[in-house]
Amino acid sequence: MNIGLLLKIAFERKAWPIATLLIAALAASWMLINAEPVYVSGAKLWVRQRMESSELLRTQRTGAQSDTHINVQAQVIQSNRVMDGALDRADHLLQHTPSRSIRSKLRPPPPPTEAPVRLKCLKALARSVNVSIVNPEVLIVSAQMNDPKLAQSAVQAVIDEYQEASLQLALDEIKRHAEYLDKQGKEREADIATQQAELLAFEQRHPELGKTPIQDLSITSPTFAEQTTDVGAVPLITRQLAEMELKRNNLSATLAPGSYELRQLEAEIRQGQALLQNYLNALAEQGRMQVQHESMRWQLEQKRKAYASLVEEVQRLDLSRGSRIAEQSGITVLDPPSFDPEHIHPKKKATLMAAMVLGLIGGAGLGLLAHLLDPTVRYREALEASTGAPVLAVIPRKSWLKRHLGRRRAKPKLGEATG
Amino acid sequence: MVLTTAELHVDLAELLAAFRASLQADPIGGALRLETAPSLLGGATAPAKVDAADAVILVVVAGRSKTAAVKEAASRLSAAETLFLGSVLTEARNPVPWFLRSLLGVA
Repeated sequence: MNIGLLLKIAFERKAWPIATLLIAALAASWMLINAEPVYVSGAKLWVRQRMESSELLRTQRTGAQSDTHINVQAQVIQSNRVMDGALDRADHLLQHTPSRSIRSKLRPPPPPTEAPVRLKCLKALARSVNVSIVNPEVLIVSAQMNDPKLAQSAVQAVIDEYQEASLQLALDEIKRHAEYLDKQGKEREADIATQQAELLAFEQRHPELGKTPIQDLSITSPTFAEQTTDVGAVPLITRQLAEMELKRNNLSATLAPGSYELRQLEAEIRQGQALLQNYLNALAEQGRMQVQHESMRWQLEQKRKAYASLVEEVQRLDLSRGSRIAEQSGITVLDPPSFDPEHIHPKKKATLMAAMVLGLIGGAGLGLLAHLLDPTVRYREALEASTGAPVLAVIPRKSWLKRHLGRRRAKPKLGEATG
Repeated sequence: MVLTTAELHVDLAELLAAFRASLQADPIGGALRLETAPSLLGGATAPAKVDAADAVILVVVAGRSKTAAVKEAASRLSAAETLFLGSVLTEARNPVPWFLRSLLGVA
């Protein structure tokens, strides 16, 4: 297809691009007239994540991309709680906002008969407020509305409410934990009192145990029996018994088995063994009591330690509460809500240009389609291609004036020529 | 020589008159006998006239003659014993403005 034929097709079908261009321009103009202008206001917040002094308040993250402190804060901002509070803060958001389109300026719409429903306003506010995460500590809260002041006040209300809600959430959490710790503390106090009473009663029942300092039971317990054999008369009796047994063995080699001396010696050995057994029994009972006593004291000490750690935790919670209030829940407004009198939508020039370009392209496409679907021969090139023979002559079409004048003059000759 | 068309309802009178007028000026052309035989595909007389003639020219009206009919007529004329000289495109219209044509140097 040469350039001449292309030009012929383009000019032959020029009505299509022109018509679609006009239609697209008209449609774009209509859209621009009816479009509601959109103004945007944004504020930058620095949301720090605190290192909690209390173990209970530390949050365990899964490590997923969505489970980060900043993501959670973005969700808090977009929560109904914050939006609802923002509506309470900015009463004018609840009032009916008149349309600011060009059409409404030309012909103002009738005033609304009913006040907008709160739920509707809440949904509209939630739709218009957007949160973008810049980095793990900075986010931008923006609002898109048909009035720049309205957008600014909406962002301000949302930020104020978010700060308060965030602080409230943190304090609520601390309060919940404090209540739990308080309950635990009371239970432990009661437990300690019971344990103390039991220990006192035990000590009164067994005054011989005395008030020895607490030892580590894990060390004393396995070797207690051995230690008890090393005290008092036990070693002496054992030694004397061993000596008597040695003597009996020596005598049994020289004396007859039923001799008086041997019988006497064996009787002494039996008495000594009985005495040793009595001593050992008494020592075992005393040891058992000692173990039980120390176990009770150890339990009491452990409960006191647990109670002390509980008290420390309560103190750390108090510290967290204080630091949270002092830091205003760790949120800093880096940039206050902006006021931009230039609307971001609709973009008149861009919309018109885009519509015209699209209309032109669409029209060119339609023109080409019309040419392809045209069943008639229009140009020399097409005729040559169709017949495969040379085109001897191309007789141009006469203008409208020439056609009519020529027809009048040629009328008498027509019959002759065709016949 | 016969001037023929693929379809009916094509007025060849004006063209024939113009041909005759231009040929009369030429001594050899004046001896030529020109006839019209419209509707090669639709009529019964046109094929006979074409067969009887020495040469034939296919007349195509721009914007009215169907491409399919022109192709069919051209193939019949090529198949016939008569000499198929070529075609003439009438009522042709060049939609490109003259200044653009002269600027780009296209026909």
